[in-house]
Amino acid sequence: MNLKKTETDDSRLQAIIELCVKLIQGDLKARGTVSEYGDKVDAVATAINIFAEEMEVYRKRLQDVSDSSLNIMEDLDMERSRLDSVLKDREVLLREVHHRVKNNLQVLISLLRLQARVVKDEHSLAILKDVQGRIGVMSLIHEKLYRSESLARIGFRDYIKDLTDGLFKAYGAGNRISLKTDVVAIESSIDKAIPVGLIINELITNSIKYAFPGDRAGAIRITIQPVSENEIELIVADNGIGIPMEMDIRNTGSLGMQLVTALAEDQLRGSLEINRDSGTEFRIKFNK
Amino acid sequence: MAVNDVIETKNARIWLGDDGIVRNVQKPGAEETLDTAKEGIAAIHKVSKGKKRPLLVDLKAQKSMSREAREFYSDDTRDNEANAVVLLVDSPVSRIIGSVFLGINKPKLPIKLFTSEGDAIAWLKGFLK
Repeated sequence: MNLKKTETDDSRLQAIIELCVKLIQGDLKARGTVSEYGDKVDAVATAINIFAEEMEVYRKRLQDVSDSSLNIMEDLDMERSRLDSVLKDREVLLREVHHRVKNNLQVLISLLRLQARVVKDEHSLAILKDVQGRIGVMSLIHEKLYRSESLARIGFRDYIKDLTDGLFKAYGAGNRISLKTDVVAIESSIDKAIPVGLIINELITNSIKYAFPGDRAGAIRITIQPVSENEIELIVADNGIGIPMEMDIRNTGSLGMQLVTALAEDQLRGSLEINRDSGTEFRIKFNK
Repeated sequence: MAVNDVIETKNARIWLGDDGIVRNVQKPGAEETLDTAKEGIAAIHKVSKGKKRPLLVDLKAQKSMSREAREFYSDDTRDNEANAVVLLVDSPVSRIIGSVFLGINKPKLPIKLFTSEGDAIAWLKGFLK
């Protein structure tokens, strides 16, 4: 060391300041020089060197964590893309299945219609027409499903409108019987929609056929509304001549009434109530 | 104190004193790296003759100790050569090195910083078996 220690102190401190600036700028590989003096200036340089060493290690660890997170994000993105693709394929497949089921049911309806042409007996013809109506209900469900966004849930409002439009058209009842529907916008799974549709089909058909004999005019009302958080009520009512008081709907020869009871209580696991005060009113409560 | 066989490594002079305490005296300007640390530990094992003994490390003249060397010294998985350690310091630089070693690396065995060799020896004698 040619220079006197006091003369070099300023330049050593300047070197430490420059070291600090480099570290602040992110150059964590920068290190200070420690002289053979081992004095306080060297102690500060030593401390800064150790600090820089530690910071360098922490930065490396942070970078590793960051790289690892990026890799995970990339993996997740790839997996999400793959799942999206699988989901899209399944949607296409499910839509196709619903479409085919609907077409097959329509073929079945056409076959029954052809069969009906050669049947002369009025009673048999009526049975064939009822069967066609019931198959039509199920066909409509599948049509609604393959046209729907979700492929799994059906909006009751549109479904019931299409269903009742079809029934009124089939029986030519629109001139003398009016229909009032009050259906809240509730969506339902296919498991609920099919029995609900079949019940409405039976009760509306029944009303059209029997509640207004001759040229009698009247009204039919359909209501679907929530009655609690989990429960829905379906009301089908008419102001016709009413079902005879002595008729027990759970013990009758009418296939339609047997179907309504079985669908309400067994399939929907709901409750069925009938009021005969003025006309006929069916109230069916079931879980969503 | 009699001096038994002294092993001279790149950075230190190491021997077992007849008081049962192993000495590791760092040479002036010693820059401890992982390699010199391993060399020193091997020498300590040799002079300890297979027995864990109190160890006095004189850091007064040491110039620097790398991070790798600090990690090596405080590695719990390593077969420890001592049952207690004193780091003898006096210069500002050796105080920083010793304090950082104790503060950051936190070795598990009993270890203390001393500036007086007499006090250090007295404390280490408590670990003689």
